[in-house]
Amino acid sequence: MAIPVTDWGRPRNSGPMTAPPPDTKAWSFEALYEAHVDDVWRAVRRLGVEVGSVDDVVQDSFITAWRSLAGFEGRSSVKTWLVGIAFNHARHALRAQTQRRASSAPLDAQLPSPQRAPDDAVATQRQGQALLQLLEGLPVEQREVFVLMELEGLTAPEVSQLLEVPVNTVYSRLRLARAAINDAVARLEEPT
Amino acid sequence: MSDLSPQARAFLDAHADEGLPSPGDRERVRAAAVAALAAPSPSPAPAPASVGLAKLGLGLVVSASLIAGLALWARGEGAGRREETVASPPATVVTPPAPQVPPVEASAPAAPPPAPSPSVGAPRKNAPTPPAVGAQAAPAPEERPAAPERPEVDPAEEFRLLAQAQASTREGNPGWALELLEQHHRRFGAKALLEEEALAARVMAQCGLGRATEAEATAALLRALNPASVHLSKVERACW
Repeated sequence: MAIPVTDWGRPRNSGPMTAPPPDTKAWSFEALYEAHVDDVWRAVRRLGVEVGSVDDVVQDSFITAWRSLAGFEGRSSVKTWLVGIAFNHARHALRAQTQRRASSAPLDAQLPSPQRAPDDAVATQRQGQALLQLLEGLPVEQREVFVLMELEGLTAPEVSQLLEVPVNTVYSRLRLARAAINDAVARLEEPT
Repeated sequence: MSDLSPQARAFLDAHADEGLPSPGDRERVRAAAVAALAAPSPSPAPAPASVGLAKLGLGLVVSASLIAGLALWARGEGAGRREETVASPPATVVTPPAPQVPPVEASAPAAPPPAPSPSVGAPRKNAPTPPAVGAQAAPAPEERPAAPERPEVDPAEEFRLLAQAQASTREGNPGWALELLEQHHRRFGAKALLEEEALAARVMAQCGLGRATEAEATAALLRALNPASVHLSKVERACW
């Protein structure tokens, strides 16, 4: 049997855990960063942080995580913990982003943008941003829940704590988001 | 509850890698974070955001809510934890461990990172193992010096990490055990003194997660490393 020399076994999202506190003294920042920067970066982009602000949000997230390491007790996966920290930083950046756009755009540009035409969406898909563009079409509350639960794998109670809303509200927003995404994908992939 | 349609699921799967950073993105942010952590005094709650807030005139309210949210999440790590109120921002609440952050001038540029699907588990041949502060850049993983040249390979520390991983699997948390074993691999790599034990622990964790194929491959690695390993009899019974 061939021996796969690089198959160390990739730990996938293993969900919430109840492990005893890990010995975080054995960790290194480099290891933490290398293992999770892709997940955190992508989550921040999915949440809608504009490209020019992602650097700051990701950097701040890892710095916060590193400085809070002693408090991490392994009750969630490392990825979940980091995504939660990144979400808080991203939310803060998004508020500033929204304020900047609102204060600089003329009144009629502040109206909700019309549904993207299928041709636009197809073109965007070719550019490799189709999912991010679809997420742009969701209301903020639905986008947050959809990204955190559907894409990042957080549980409803975890999202409830992050968003500071009841679990039922989380489920309600997820249901609406899923319906919207179903419709958007169906429209996107309609034969033209 | 409304579910995602198969079409939507397929769409999400097809675009799962959208939004990943480029190699330049990763390195730029890594360098900035390392520099920020190596700075003499820790910065308070996110400086860029705070500056942005001041400029926008949103006042202390949003800052306080961010700090409170961060503090609660960073300490609580998800739902189900007992409520802990933290009066000060994360940067001042906890005393972090001495970060094993290399000085900026000593950190060698990383080799081109792996493909966008993060191969968290794959050893990166040319990536240096995280050196302690002030240490030289690590030699390539294939080199095994005859005598320990770097004091940072601490057998007790390695043992502690492995023991934690083994305990995690025994206590029903094999996913966490794998996370710890990844840390072990990154920390000690080819210099690990307990390589057989680490492989055996990995087999047990993979079996615990139902990944029999991966466990079999890891067991084969152990067998290749040492056909007479005392751990083989246990791992060969683990999943099968």
